[in-house]
Amino acid sequence: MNPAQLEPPFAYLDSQTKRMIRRALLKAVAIPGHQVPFASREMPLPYGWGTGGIQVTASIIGPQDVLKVIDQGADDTTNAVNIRSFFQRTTGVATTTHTEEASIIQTRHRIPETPLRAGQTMVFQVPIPEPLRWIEPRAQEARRMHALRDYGPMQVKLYEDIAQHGEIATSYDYPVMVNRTYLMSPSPIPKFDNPKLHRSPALMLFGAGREKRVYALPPYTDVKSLDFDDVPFRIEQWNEACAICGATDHYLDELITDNKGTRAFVCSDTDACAKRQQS
Amino acid sequence: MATPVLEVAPLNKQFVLHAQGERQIRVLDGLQFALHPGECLSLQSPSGSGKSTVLRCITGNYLPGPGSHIWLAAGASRVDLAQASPEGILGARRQHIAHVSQFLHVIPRVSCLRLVMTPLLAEGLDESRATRVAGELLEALHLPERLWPLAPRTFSGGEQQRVNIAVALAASQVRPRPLVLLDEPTASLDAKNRSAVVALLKALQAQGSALLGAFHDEDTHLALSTRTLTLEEHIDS
Amino acid sequence: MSDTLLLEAHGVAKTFGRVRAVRNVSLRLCEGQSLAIVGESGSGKSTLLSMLAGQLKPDVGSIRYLSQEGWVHLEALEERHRRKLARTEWGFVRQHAQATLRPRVSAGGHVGERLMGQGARHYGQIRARAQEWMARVEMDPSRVDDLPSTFSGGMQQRLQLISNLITHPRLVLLDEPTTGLDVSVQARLLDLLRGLQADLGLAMILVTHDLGVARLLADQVMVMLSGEVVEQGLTDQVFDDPQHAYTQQLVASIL
Repeated sequence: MNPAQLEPPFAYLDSQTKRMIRRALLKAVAIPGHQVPFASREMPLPYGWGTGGIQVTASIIGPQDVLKVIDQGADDTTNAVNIRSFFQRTTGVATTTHTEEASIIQTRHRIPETPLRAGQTMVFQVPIPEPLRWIEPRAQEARRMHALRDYGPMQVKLYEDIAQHGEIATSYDYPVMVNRTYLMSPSPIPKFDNPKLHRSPALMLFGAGREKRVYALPPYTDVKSLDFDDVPFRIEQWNEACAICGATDHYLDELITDNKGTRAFVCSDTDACAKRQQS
Repeated sequence: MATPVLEVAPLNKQFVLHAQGERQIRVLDGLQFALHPGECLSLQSPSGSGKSTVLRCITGNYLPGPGSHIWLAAGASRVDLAQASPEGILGARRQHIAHVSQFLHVIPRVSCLRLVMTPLLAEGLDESRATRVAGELLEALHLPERLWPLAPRTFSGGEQQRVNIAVALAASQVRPRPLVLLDEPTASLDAKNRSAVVALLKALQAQGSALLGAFHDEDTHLALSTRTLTLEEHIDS
Repeated sequence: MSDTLLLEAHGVAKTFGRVRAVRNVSLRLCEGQSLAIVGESGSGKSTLLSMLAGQLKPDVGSIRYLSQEGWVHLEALEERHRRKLARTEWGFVRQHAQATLRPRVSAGGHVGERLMGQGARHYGQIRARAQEWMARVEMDPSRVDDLPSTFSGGMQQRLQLISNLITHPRLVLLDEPTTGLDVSVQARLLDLLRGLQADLGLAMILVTHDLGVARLLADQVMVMLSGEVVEQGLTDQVFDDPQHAYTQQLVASIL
């Protein structure tokens, strides 16, 4: 057979690899918040660019799916554009920028403002899946801590934040307890988005390519951000509204608009912003 | 005659000095005696040796030699101190024996008032009553009040010894101990303080305690002793 | 002090390669009792202590501890259970506080850690409890947010101590807790330890090479030489009337 006539497999990965990743994902869904190792493949982009998320999407995407890809909430940043076009080339599936139309949404650093519905799947790109990484450097000990639900040191870290800064200083990748059982890193989404994980009707899948781990939250899972009874979890707030659509309940990015340092606050979720503008 | 408080039947003691080529010093061999409530038995030893050894073997500070039996009757129980477990000996020290050693033998850096109060608190007295009784005891021993908040390490020999006696006899002010051991209790004291100590000991004797003592000082010996035991007859020299 | 047996070791031995670090050691400890294990370097005392703390499994022999839920055998203890005991009913104080204290965790964080590990979730209450304990060992409670490196060696040891005591452990194990500290600092720390032991009714096992420390803190003492116990008994008896040649030598070596 002429090698030039060989087609790349659907969604780039061979079927054995997809089965391996889907098995890992099934385990992950069965144990919400628990990190499942998988044999991360070489992808046509380096580690740190979303290889984990891409492998997860590639393993679950089918010809009927509609794909949305965002990076920092926007569909039109370089990475989002590249990843979307990658899947278009390797699958031919329909793509969209509208959250409500998508069946799979791959994301880096945000959850869309538009509420998700049953049947949708979020795929998160995760750099460091281990929430205990900066507290316990030994991987073996960190695994034992998860196994024994030995999370005191994480609470101590939050205590220290309050002691030194007056509040819990973490603003993104804010640790959560899943089903009151597993400590999980929600990926580097802003803490503003943490409440969206709680009892979401959507399936949440998390992929870390370099670290070779996947984990998952099946729909309607309890997800609680860590805090203290007298220092409760609080999301970010702005004094301004979005300069484009006027939203006061969206996550806002701060933009410098000219050389004089004029600042504007704008929705990070471009799709939600555009929708609100139209209505 | 009432049941003896203490029955030494017998007491053997020898020391083995390993550093001196296993040299053996036999101090006591087959010593036997009994002591009854209200008695004060004075140990005498012209050669000077053995008295302290007898007292220390009874408290367990020295390990009695093989074949020794030291029966202590206290309340309803009778225990062989020579064969007792370490916990048993500690219990006997706390509950049944008052021991006045020759030199100050207390925990450092604690004020003498607190030292005397500690056994009183252990007897169940509250802070204020313990403070009062401790103060009375120190006063009876003519120890000036300005010394009470101080640790006794810096006191004169006589002052230290009086603190020592107060600590040793404190618990007995609440509940007299059946056995009181005295190792040269008045050695460093002047006449006035000696009589104060004798008065305290006589009071215990009157309440039924049995006293066993090594008295270097003739006055004390005469004031307290009801019997003497000369150790030379029982020492293998 | 009671007669209730709390910890019992029977025929315990541990070998590393060709080194028989601990050979055939047995001991019993009752509630509220204190035991000193004295010996020189290489005697096996620290290895023994590690086994009694459940940190090291003996090769031979058994060690049982009377927990709130009944007798547990340390040589067969599950990790989950061991950690729970280590953080509630037991305390372990090391010679060098820096080995235990984490540089970026404040005094309050250290003292409160056991509480947080048990599920305490009220920041204000955790901090207040930490301050209470700091005051109890003569540390300035206003320094509750200070990092360990800002405290002196003696204060770091107190911090290590109260981090253990906050859960009112029944058994505290100490490995040379005052060695290396200035003499006056040692004295104050030992006095503190003695007071706490009496107030809290702690059972203590203390490893030391310093006979004076053993005299001050322990009712009973075990003398170890080359992995074996050569003599044991009441502390005052072992030091005032030593039977074994090695004990006599040790006592004669007191400066």
